Amino acid sequence: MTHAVLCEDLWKTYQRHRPLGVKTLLLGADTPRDTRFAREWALAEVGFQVPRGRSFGVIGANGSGKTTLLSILLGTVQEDRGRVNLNGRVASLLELGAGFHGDLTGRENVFLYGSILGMRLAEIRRRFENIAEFSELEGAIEQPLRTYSAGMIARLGFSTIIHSPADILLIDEVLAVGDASFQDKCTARCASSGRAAARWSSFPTT
Amino acid sequence: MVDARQTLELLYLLVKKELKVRYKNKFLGYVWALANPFAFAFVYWIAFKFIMRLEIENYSLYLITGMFPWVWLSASMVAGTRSFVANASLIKKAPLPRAILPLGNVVQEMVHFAFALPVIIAFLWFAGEIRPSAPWIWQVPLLLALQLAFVYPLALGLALANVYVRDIEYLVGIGLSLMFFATPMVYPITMVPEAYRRYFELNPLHGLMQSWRSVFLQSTLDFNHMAYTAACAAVTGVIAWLLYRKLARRVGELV
Repeated sequence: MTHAVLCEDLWKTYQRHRPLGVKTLLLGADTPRDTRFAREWALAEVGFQVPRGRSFGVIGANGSGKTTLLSILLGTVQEDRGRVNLNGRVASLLELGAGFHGDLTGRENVFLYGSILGMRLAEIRRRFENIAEFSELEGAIEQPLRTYSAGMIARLGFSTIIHSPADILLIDEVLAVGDASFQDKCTARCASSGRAAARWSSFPTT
Repeated sequence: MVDARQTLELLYLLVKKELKVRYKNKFLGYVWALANPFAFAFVYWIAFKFIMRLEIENYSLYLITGMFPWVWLSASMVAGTRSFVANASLIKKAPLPRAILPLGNVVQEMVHFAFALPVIIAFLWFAGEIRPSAPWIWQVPLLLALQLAFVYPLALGLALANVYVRDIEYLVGIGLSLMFFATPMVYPITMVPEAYRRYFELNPLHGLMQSWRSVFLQSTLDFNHMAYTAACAAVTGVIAWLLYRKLARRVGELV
């Protein structure tokens, strides 16, 4: 039980896929079925271990499999081979605004997003003041989200995720839109909370 | 780890979000929710009663009592079928139980229907002199539960299928139009030639709509029709569950 995240010999490939249409179902595909893979492997032989309380980052070019790896850790995509083991509650911020709705206010979005992250309503209510304060959005938190800039949305999302009681935070490159001072604040907060954070960047940000 | 209470809270927030978004900035929000079924009913009343002059007893009551449950059913089937594709970012980026998305659509439309109940009751009273009756207090919730149990597995199964075969969402629209006349919604089943009537009665939607009519018009539960609809709901429930177990794991890659 020393690790927070354990990945062993992970392999993943995506099948070449076209969403089936009724036409192909009824008439058959007009081209022979393509059984080749879009690419040999999206992930091959990936293995690593993240101890508790440590951060772990992955850097790579576009399309090199960072998000795939993160999705497998999160469980929204299935691995083909290998083993993933996460010790503790997981919270994720993989995409800016996933789960947010533009017509809801910042406050309402915190509740919805918190619930999507697996938090209880009571937990969110208890932490809401801290979330609002951490985001530094002040009065804007009562405004509809569609009036927010990308940076403000990132602040709201990150403030929510960092106040969730999760033991493991999975974060895709969304923080890149936050300004430098907010990024530093988040990094410091991750370090001080003693939680594992996996951070994925397509370029080194810090 | 399934936390039932947390899942219920999430469902509550998702439904609340949809209701809020739908009614936001719309002063007449509630009126719009009622306008659709009433407009439908009115058009058919004009067409069948006034122009074709069919002799149907209490035709306006027949239309109204069916139309509201129908709009609940059809709107949630259409939205539910699209629920995975429309929420692709949630499916891909959040570890929420996916089956909750079509459920949210069905429950949301159920809430609209429940909001409309006072208007239906008022209509029955003024247009049909049917006074509100005490048994409705338990009959209506029972039928709400039956319709929810019937529609949800259908919506879930169609949502999954729509991820693999995108045309399904168009087929659902066409299918609903056909079912509207096959159920039937705008004429009584007694007008169907006797030789074909039993085929029409195989349709579980017919049983469901007849159950609503007998509650609203006679304050009685139509046990035969309800049992048939419940049996169909059980079968589709099992099919949807098997589909979900088999197909849900790849949904994250395909939406």
